[in-house]
Amino acid sequence: MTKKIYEELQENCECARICGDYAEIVPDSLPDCALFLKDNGYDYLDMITASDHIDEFILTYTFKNLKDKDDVMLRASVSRENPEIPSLSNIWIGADFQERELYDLMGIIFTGHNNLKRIVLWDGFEGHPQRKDYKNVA
Amino acid sequence: MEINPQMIPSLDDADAYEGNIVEDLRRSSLEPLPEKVILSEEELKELNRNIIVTTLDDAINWAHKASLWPVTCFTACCTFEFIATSMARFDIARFGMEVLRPSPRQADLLMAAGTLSWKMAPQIKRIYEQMAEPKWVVAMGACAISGGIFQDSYAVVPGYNHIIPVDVYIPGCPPRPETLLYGLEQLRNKIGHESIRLENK
Repeated sequence: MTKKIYEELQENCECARICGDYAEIVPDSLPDCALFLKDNGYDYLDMITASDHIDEFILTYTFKNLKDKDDVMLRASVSRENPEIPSLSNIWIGADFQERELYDLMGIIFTGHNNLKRIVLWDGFEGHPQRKDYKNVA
Repeated sequence: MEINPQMIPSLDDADAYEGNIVEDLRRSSLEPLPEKVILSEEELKELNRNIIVTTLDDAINWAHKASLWPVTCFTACCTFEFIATSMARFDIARFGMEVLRPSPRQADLLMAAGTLSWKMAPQIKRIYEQMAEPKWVVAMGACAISGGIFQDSYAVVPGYNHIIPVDVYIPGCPPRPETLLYGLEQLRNKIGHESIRLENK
């Protein structure tokens, strides 16, 4: 059963596509979808995560409605050659560190982020170690 | 054995004996109490003939190993075994180690307890350099010795000895408090054999 909020999201943001228990969006429409969700009670960014699928990265965003105890999941895939997605750090300040961590470990570029640099590893580290093609040089 | 009736004092005699004691006490209570003498003059003379002989090395090493103060600088989970060791059940206070110093300036021992990431390594090195001589380092647990299960990781230092010199290695994941106490005993033995002379270093 599809949640009502997904249908509303699809009506308002044309790019969104419902796939089971999550909605798939194109990367550029992420701020619009996030703002729509924020205005409709999903005002807490639970987590941002990314997974490496060799030819693309899939980013998963989870938003929570703390009042009604509900959550919404958005997925966006970015290409490996050009892994760019708009930043949410202007909408949720909590996205700041999570996006920096994803940049650090996965190498995903969040456009519009005003301080996109490594957070877990040190400056000067080469590569992004959570990528599947990362070769460990211990 | 026969009882000599003359040995048993009569009541009158006992009363007189008690009366004498009380009278003596009353008389002496008016005089000032004599000074306490711990050692008599003869004993003092005897003592002057005895000299305690030791080497400067032994005296200094004894002081060093009897007051090893660890610095409060722990990186990971082996810390909890060290905390358990420092508490009442195992009680490193027996070795004069119970004073954990938050300031490296006052500490003698760096307990390298747990995994060290490369990003944390400069801070550990800095704390080690801030410690005043003499100083010792104990690598506690598999991660501190060699990186442990994280040995191949891009983010973990494969052993504290890549960063700072280590005196004693205590294996275990984590080491039991008994193991830790044995390792600290080894460190105390090592300190006991140190010398201030340059050629012995």
